[in-house]
Amino acid sequence: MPEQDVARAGGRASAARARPAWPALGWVLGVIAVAAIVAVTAWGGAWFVPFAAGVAAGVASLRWRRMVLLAVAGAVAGWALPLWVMALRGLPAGATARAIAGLAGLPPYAGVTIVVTLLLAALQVLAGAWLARALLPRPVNE
Amino acid sequence: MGRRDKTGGMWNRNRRVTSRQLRSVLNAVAALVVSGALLGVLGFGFGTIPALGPALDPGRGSWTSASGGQPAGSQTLRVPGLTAPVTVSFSSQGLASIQAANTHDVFLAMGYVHAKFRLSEMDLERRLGEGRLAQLGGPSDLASDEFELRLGLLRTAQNEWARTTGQARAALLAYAQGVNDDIAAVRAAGDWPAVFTLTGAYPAPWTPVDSLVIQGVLTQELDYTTGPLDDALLQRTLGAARTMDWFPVLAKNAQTPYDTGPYVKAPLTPVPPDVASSAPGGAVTTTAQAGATGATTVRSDDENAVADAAAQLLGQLGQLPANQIHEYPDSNAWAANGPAVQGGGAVLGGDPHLPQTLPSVWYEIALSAPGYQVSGVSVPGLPGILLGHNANIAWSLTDTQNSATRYYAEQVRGDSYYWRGAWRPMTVERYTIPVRGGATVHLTVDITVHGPIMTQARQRMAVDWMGNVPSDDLGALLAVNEASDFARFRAALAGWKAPAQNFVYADKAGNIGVLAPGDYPEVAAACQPWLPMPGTGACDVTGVIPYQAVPQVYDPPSHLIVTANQRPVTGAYPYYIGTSADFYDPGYRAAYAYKYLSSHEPLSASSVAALQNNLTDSLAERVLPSLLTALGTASLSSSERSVVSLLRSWDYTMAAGSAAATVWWTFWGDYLSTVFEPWWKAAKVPVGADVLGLGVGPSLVSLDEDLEAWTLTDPSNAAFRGPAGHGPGSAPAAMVAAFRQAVTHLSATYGGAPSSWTWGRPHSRSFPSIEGAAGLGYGPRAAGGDPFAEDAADGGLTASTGPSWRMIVTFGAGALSAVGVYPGGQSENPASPWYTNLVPLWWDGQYLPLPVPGASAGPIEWRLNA
Repeated sequence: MPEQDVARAGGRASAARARPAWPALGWVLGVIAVAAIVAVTAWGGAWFVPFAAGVAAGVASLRWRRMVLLAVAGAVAGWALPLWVMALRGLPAGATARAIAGLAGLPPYAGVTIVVTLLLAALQVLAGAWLARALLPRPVNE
Repeated sequence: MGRRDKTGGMWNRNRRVTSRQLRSVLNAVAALVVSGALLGVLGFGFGTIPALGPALDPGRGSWTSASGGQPAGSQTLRVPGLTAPVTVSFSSQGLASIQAANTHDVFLAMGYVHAKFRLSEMDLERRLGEGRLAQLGGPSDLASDEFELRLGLLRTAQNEWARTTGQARAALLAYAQGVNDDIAAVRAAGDWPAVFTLTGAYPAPWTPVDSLVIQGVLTQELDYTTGPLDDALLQRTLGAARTMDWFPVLAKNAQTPYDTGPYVKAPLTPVPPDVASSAPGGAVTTTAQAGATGATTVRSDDENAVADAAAQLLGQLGQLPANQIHEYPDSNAWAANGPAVQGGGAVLGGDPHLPQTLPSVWYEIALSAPGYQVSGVSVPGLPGILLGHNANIAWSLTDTQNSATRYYAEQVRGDSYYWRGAWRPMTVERYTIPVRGGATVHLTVDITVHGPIMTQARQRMAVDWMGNVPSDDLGALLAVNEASDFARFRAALAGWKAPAQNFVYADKAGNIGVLAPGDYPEVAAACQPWLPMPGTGACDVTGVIPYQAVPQVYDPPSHLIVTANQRPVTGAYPYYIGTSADFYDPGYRAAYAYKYLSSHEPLSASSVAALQNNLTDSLAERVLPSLLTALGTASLSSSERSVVSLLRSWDYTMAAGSAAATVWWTFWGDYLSTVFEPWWKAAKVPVGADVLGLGVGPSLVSLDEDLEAWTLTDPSNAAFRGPAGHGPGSAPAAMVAAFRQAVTHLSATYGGAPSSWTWGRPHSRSFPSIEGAAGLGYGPRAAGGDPFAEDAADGGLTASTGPSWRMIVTFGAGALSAVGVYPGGQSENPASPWYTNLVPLWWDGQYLPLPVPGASAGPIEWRLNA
């Protein structure tokens, strides 16, 4: 193995050792926290919060790569939560989704609106994370 | 390592660093651009793409429209402006009943309830009338906005509001406050109907002018016609003599008018010539200088220029959404009394045939306040009941179908037009039309003494439409709501101007009647109102038929009254009311209804219901014997003979399961084509300018009437010989040729045995959503009916026009019974259980009792407090 490759491999190993290992519970709590923030702000009309979550995740991902995945999961769950609550309250969420799809000129199926809605949350996170990672200087070991 | 290697290594390292920096910069730029674009599109939309961020925000966006889709429950609501508590009750099907302490509160609550269930529909209709659709729908709606702003529903509504007084003014103000109370509540809760959150175009406060605009939209849909434009093109191609022969003033076939005379000939009632032109406080108005020069002067007697202008205007009208102007004449209203009714008394049946949409044009409701007790169907956007009953009388409407649209070829020079021997300045109105996803459009409308200029072709064409004459139709309607006998009913309708309607009447004393109030414009005898006329003043409207002379009947000796859009009077009527093409029904439904009702006496609600749902094609009943006679002497193939046997056993019913119905309808279309198409091709009739008004087919009712009459009484008419003398030569020969063509066509299309060609295969009904959204309509569903059946289905093989409301009211032995149904539901929200819940009842010919004024409609109750 060339000298430089050995050095790089050693660097990665030491960096991995340096990062705290996130237990599964930590990931779950992280997703729940992001979901809660995104859901509450969605009720307040702040539709762009998933993007902000993505920026935060992008910053954090410079140290913890999986933060972006966590943020995506949290944002999607956060936007799904109000829909779920709507259905639990007995409101016709499926029929409303179908109506929205029809009015928007999309195929009139409930799944279409639900997928598009959740996709918007995910897209915002990814765009935000990309922006953060692109603008911030990367650590030397990256 | 040599110097050269060291230099190369540094260069390579520098190159890697530079390349990495470049990639980083590009990556950052791309991230910025993509993020900015994403947030921009989500936040503000792009072109016709809505701002999807707020629209699909699951907490505040269009998802919140789900709250309007949940079943209504009992609740107490705050409605500012009420003077006393109001109770609104609903049946389990959604039929509503309002009980209030006074008429102010009843109309305020009505506005609130209408908005609660139909706010999108109301906003869409007012946008249509006010030329603001493109702000919602984008460039595809621009043609509609330009047409409406030219025609001037908004100007007319503003004029009407400036003249509105008394009960109508109070009702409109209270109603508007009720609508605005709901808009305020929705705004506070954020649970807008989805169409608003998706487009970001939220409704402006409601005003009385908006209500009058909606009244104008309904008037336009029933009353604005293009007959003279079509006639101009027919006359240029077919020639004047043939056009007048085939599209005569009086139809060639047998008719059954309800008013057979004797008629009153009285002096015309004058109409101010210029009231339709300007808007008080409306758009910016400038006055052009008289005698201005610089533009080409065009004489208004240039037939080719007039025809070109007609074609251009028809082209503009062809871009409008379906049913924006009147196209299909299919309403029914009947009344019977005395010995014709089981147990005596009177019975009234009414089923207005309009575009069948989701939501419906109707909202069913009972209204109760001291001195005001009425039930029936209302129009969202307007106070009062349009068709229904009170404790003493019942009424229903059909369109009179008279020609109320006059076109004038104006002689124009610069900004002036020539009228009565002098050049006059045109009034100019300027509008800006916001377009969603496009640039704002500026529109200038020139207005002459006749009305607005509708086309900018070499020949300017102005339109003088009676719907543009300000009138107190709403005041008349509210007075009808309170009338207790025919004298008061008649007095109330004196104020009704447009659209001219047949108001069919029955009362608890057992009287029946019909009255057709409205403005019927008259011109000098030397003029030809069925064509565009010169705008020089010689053919101006000289007045309208006086009220005492409009078609009317009261307690006829036959004890029967039938209106079905047929010409209401005989040829002896002393006034001009339109030609057969512009635009009465051919009369098949009216004739059949007279026959059916008189043969089923004594009548009851069930026999009236049976007629409303009857699918008999009366034209088939008249013509089929002649066809079978012609086929009896023809040499036929075995498959043709099997089709003949289908027809021989047919009962003329256009049922979905009838194969003979398919054969008949295909034959009739082919028969029309066989006879008339060669003439059309030879004359080069520009069918593309207006397919419905110029194309050979059953919708061109004059041709139906001609062919029926020739078949029965003039089988050697010259029309059968064709333009070059090579046609079939006679009605029997043409029928045999058309029959063969129909059988060949059906065999190729459907194959198999003729008995499998059931009418439900090519024919269906569809109730599209008013937004035109896929999946939010009903159907297409295989269905019976055709334009000539009582249960009419019009608008093509996928019919979307037909009975929009069926109502039967009986007054017998002191008891009143009223039932009705419409295809749709009370809520416009597609997620609501009340969106389509009435469709199955309508489809199966069933009815529901109308809510009773002053009584609870059902178990759901809203308490409205100020």
